[in-house]
Formats: sequence, C-alpha cells, structure tokens
Amino acid sequence: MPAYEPGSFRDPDSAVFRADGKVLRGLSGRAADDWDRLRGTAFFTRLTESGKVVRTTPYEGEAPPSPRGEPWARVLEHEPVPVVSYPYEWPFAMLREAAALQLEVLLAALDEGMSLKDGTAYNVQFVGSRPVFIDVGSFEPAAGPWPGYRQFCQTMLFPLLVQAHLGVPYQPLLRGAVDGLSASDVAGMFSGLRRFRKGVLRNVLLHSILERRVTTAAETVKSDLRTSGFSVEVAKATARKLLDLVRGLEVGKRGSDADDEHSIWSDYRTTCSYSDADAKAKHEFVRAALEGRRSRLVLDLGANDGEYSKLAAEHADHVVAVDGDEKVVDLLYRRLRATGNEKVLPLVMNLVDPSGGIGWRNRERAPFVERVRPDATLALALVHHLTIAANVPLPEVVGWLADFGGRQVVEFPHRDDVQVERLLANKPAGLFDDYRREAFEHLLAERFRVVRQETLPGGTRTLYLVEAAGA
Amino acid sequence: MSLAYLDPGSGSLIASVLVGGAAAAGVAAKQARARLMRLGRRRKGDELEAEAQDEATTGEAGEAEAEPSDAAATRDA
Repeated sequence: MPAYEPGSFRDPDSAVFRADGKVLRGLSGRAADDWDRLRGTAFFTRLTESGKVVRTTPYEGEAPPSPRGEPWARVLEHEPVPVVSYPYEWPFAMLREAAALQLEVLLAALDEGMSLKDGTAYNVQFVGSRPVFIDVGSFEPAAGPWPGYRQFCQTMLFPLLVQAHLGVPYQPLLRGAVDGLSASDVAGMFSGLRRFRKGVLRNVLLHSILERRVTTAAETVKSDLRTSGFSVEVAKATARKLLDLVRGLEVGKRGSDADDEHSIWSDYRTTCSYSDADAKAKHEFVRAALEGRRSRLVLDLGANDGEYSKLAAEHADHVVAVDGDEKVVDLLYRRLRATGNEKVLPLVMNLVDPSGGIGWRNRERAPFVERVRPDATLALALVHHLTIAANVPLPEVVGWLADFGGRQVVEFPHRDDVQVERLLANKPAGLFDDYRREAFEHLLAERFRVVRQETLPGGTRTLYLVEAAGA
Repeated sequence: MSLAYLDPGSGSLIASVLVGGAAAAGVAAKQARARLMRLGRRRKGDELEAEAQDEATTGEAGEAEAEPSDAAATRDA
C-alpha cells in the first residue's frame, strides 16, 4: 500500500509517495511536459551530478492513482534522503545555505528558460551537511516574475533577517507557522534605524505595504508585467540580488575567526568537568560500543560540539546530532560543511520540547520521533540535565530512551559529580532524592538488557551499554 | 497559460520585481504606464459609449481620442 507524503498535497500536478521502500513522484500530464523539458536541460544534469538537486529517474513499475483518483501521466523515482529535517530544526548557517541553494537552482533554471513554481524552505533537505533541492515537481517554463518570492521570504529570508539583524531565533516562529513569517509581522519587528539594515526596506517594509495596498488580482498583475516587457532578465536580477543578500547575512561575528560570541555550551568542551583520563575512557567506551556492528542511523542526543557524533559516523551510515543550543549546532554545522561531511546531520531542538506534527491535520510535517528512527542512540552527559534541570522524572527519561529502541550508550553522572551538585544547588533540598545510581540502574534493567557498564576513573560517572528489548 | 498553483500575492509579485533593482525599475515604470493605458482605454470606451448615445439623439459623432488624455493620467496616478 503506497503512503502519500502528507507534505506534498499542495501541488495538484505532482505528489510524492513511498512504495516498496522507494520514494516516488507522480506527475499529471502538464507536469510530465515540464519534466520532459527539464530533463533535456544542461543545468538539471549539472546540478544533479553535483548533488545539488535530488537524483531522479523515470520509474517504470506500477503506480497507484493520484490522491484525486486519476492515473498519473508519469512516475519518477527520487534518491531517498536519509533523514528528513525541517527548517525549524536548522541553525542559522544551515538555513542560509538552504536559501542560497534554492536561489542558485532558480538562477540556473532561469538561464535555460525555466523557473520554480514555489519558493518554500521545505523544497530543501540535507544529506549530512550538504543541502539538496528535492522538489523536482517545482520546475516549470519561466513566465513572469518568480511566483515563489513570497514563500521564499516567509520561510527563508525573513527568518534569516530577524536572526541576523535582531538576534531573534526563528526556529520557534517557523515551528509555530508552517507558512512562515508574514511581511507585515516582520515589518512590525523592525523599528527605528533597524529598518535600514541590509535587505529590510525592500523585502520587508515595501513588501508589506504592497501586500496591503495592491488589490489587483495576481493574474492581472502578471499579464500587466508581460505586456510591460517583463523578461527573464528581471527575474534573474531579482534572484541575483536575493542571493547576494542571503550570502551576506551573518549572526554576530560567527563567520569570522575572532569569534567572541559565546553561548552556555559553546565552550563546554574546554570548561567541562572531565579529566583527561575520564575523557579518554569515555571515548574508548563509546567506540567499543559502536564498532564491529555497523549502524544504519545513530542518534546523538545532546550532541554539543559533535565529538561523539563524528566518532559514531565511523561506524554508521548516518548520524543525527541534536542539541538545544543553536550556537553550538551552528558551529558544528559550519565545521561539518567545511569538511564536506555528508554523514552527520546537526539539528537544533530542545529535547524536552521536540518538534511535533504541524500543518494540515498536524501531518503535513511529521514529528521528530516519526522521522528519526535510530538503531543506536547516544545519551551522554544528558540524563542529569533532563531530570534535575528540566524536572523530567527519572522513570520518564528511561521510558523515553527505551522508545528509541536499539543499542544505546547512556551516561549517568552520580549525585556527587560536580555538574550534578551544581544543578542541585539551584533546587530546593529534597526534591531530587530519587536521583541515585541504584534507582537509575533499577529502571534501566526494567526496559533494557545491560550489556556492559563502566565507571569513569574520576569515580563520579558511569557509562552503560544497553539494548532495548527486541534489539 | 499559467501553471501556478499557489497564490503568489499581487503585492509580492510587484515587490519581487522591485527587488531586482535597476533592471527592474524600467519594467516597473512600463507596468505603471500599462495600467494607466488600460484605465485610459476603459475611459475611452465609456466616452465612446456616451458619444454613441449622444449620436443617437443628436445625429453628430464625436471624435474619439487615440491616447488617454494627460488629465486622465494625472487623475489616475
């Protein structure tokens, strides 16, 4: 039974579905004509071969009817993306990279008389640190201005502008609205001299005024533009200006060597409480747990600078590195991108408040736990933060880990660990009396089989290699 | 024929042209002129209709203007 991708319903001419482990795309007659034209272009071959557009081939097998009950004119097969992620899980440099790719694809298409129907951030996915444009159904013959400009602004440019110019994290905003940030809402955020920051006057303020004032139907505006001699050159000029703007956006001094913007966690590796002996023993334990049994997908919860994600990547096809601190994930992304890493996917997410299902029927964009099904999980230096800092009861934490299944490496910092003492010092005495190693081991044994355990040389932290029932 | 399935927003379409800068400015100006021309033609149509009615009553045909008058353009701007 094929499963239609709930996020692809908006385009009546094309829909994505999964069948027999394949990712397929059905095309209407009109969309099939566009595909025939697209596959004959040089840019499509070039961008596919360089990994910028998803690899796509004609599919000859049987296909189900469209969600509207009609037969497809053509069916295509896409190379699957290992792990689906969404813009509200991407740090700044990742969204910027995705936005630049979308514009690069648009410019290449315009050079050969084609364009993109839409401009949403959901057109882009990541394979490790490499962005890839996945909406092959979006290509159409170029005619008039780019219809995707508004979507591009709402889901890519405006989020980047509020983060770069105002220091406002866009992830909660994008997660709160599948269509992104409206021009008028963003215009309200830019007051005084901030209106003159790069890209704001035209893309935000003028845009919001025009949205309010222009009531002519979009089709009339388009035909006016055509009769006014609107050529592909103008669409190209728009895309080029946007690309320059996007590439020039930066948060603080992140892009420079003199990185003086710090977050709580970005200095963690140099200020954390591990002695060299502890760090070495921990590294060896994790390596031994992963090597010799290759994983399809490792989930690194609370990944910080990604040290263990990179170690896991040596023994896995792919790794998802999740952390709640945008700054550290952003730095991790930049390092991974600089080395061309296509195995580790870094994501920003508060583990106590993970991404849920959003959009139409809460299914258009799936919850994190449905998209990420690891066969191995790392929960290092995490349990004390969830229980003591975030007040999640210890049995809940163990139950949550068990839901991920598979093999896991879990670290339990004891009550007398300096970090645990620091967290407990902020809480009233007696609230976390159940935070004890014996209680944790009891809970662990209820949900997992303990394969191996080792207390680090410092004596205040124990690592467990466990396997969930059925793993 | 347009294949667009999403409403790109009329204001956004114009904004996207303006973002293009100098290359777009000429087109924007032409577009404004096209809108004036269209309004002018609509007015011309109205005038012809009125004149046809006048003709029916007076038997005298008025001469239609080929271009919208400056006055009409100023009013519409």
